[in-house]
Amino acid sequence: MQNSNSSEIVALIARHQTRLRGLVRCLLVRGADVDDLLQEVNSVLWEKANDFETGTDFWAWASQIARFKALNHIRKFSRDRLVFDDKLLNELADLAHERLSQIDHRRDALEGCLNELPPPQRQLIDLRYAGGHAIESIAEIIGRPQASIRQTLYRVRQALLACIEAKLQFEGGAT
Amino acid sequence: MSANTRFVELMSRMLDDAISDEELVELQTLAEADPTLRSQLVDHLLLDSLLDENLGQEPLTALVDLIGESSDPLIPTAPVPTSIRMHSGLSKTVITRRWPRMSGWLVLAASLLFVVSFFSMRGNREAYAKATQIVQAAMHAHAAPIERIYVVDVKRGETNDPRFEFPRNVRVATQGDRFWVQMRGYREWAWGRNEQGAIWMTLGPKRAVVVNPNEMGLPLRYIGDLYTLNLETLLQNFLKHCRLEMSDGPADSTIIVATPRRQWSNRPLQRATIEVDRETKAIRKLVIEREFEHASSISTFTLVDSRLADESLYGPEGHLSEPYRIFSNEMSATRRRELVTNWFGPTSEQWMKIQEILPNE
Repeated sequence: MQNSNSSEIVALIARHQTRLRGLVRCLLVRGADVDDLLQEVNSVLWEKANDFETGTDFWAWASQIARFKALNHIRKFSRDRLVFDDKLLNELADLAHERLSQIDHRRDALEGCLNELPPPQRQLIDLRYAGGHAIESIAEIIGRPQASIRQTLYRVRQALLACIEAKLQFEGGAT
Repeated sequence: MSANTRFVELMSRMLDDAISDEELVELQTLAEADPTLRSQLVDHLLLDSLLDENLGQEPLTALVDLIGESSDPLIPTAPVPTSIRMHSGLSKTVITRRWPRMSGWLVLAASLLFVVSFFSMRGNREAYAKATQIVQAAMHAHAAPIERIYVVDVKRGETNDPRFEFPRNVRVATQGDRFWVQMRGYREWAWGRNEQGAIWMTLGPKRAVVVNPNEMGLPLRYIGDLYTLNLETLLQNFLKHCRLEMSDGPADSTIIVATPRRQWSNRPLQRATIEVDRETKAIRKLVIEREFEHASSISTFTLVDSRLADESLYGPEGHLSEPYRIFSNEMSATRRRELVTNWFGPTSEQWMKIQEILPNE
């Protein structure tokens, strides 16, 4: 690999981590598998860096490779982990590809939306994502039944999605 | 129960990693039959990804990412031990230092004494008396064997350099100048700093590597100092060169703000803010704002919990399962660096500096 291309490809891969992570997440049943698969995808992009033509659309190139690699890898996962079937995987990948074009706007909007959450809801999200607690553990910490925690988390996620949409509309960021 | 209600239930179970084989089949059937449900599923999966990225603890790239800040000329240098005795076989590292190790409360006290001295120089007797009280109480508070949990959040400002794009949240358990961090992700691992100032890191559930202070590359040393909240090493340099202001903070706290004096203003530090709990005297929050040539960053340490420490977690042993191996001085630094690099990737080569290893290595 030429040095000039290698430094550029590293920068491009790094800059597209949010998109790549989003694509990978949409194909996986378990969130805990994301880092593993993302690492595989990053490796293969790096290996194929010489195929990328400078000045062309990186995301168009990378997303195809990432999708192909991810789907292949998931088939291997299927021996010992829960995975979506092929038909649904391809449909999810198509949908994800559409949504990912505005993922950076969504990420920015999410930050504002998180700050607007009422403290109890923010605490729940923090326990789940910042603390990495499972539902059982959150239920124990907060002293509420698991089903209730799961239901509230769903409502908070819905509220965040609505807030993100509203912000994108307001800022004209939605496409 | 409607299909939509059932779908929401199943999707929630999936997002919370609690879905069974049968439930997944049911979820797929529902999603394949209805495009709006598929769309809903993708929205939630993408949100899950963003939340995990935004709030989640460090994945494997944690250290690599923070290396982006290592060009900071303010990087503190930890005291280097003058001699290291090495034992073969099962022996542990024995380190003697020229300077006695400063325990956490002493470090905190020393730092705050700087504050005291500045107020004293300015003749602000009231502030001086108040700061003295803070120091005394902080010494008492931090002498107790209590573990403090801080969330460390490093945010970068607008920049063209992609290395600086990732805001991170790391939950660090600190006690004195020791710390440990549990990394979450597909491959869970832990790392920390022990009483001797060595950094240890687990490579899976059966192996760990110990990096001694004289073997540490700059990034590892810097991150170690950052995570221990070692206030002396972090703040001493710029406290000497800063204007200090003390004021009442929110919820019964005292705020101390340090801003660089004019002759020192070409340094990256823009401002440091320390929030001390007036009652417990623990440092509730420390915010360090810096401006580099190609990037800016705000590092925030927020106290989220105080508890009795589980001592076993301050070394690799508490994070490994039997039988395990801990590679320390009995293995050459070159070989340990290979292990680290194989595990964390090529960028981690900078974490250990081989050229300064003692001759018997």
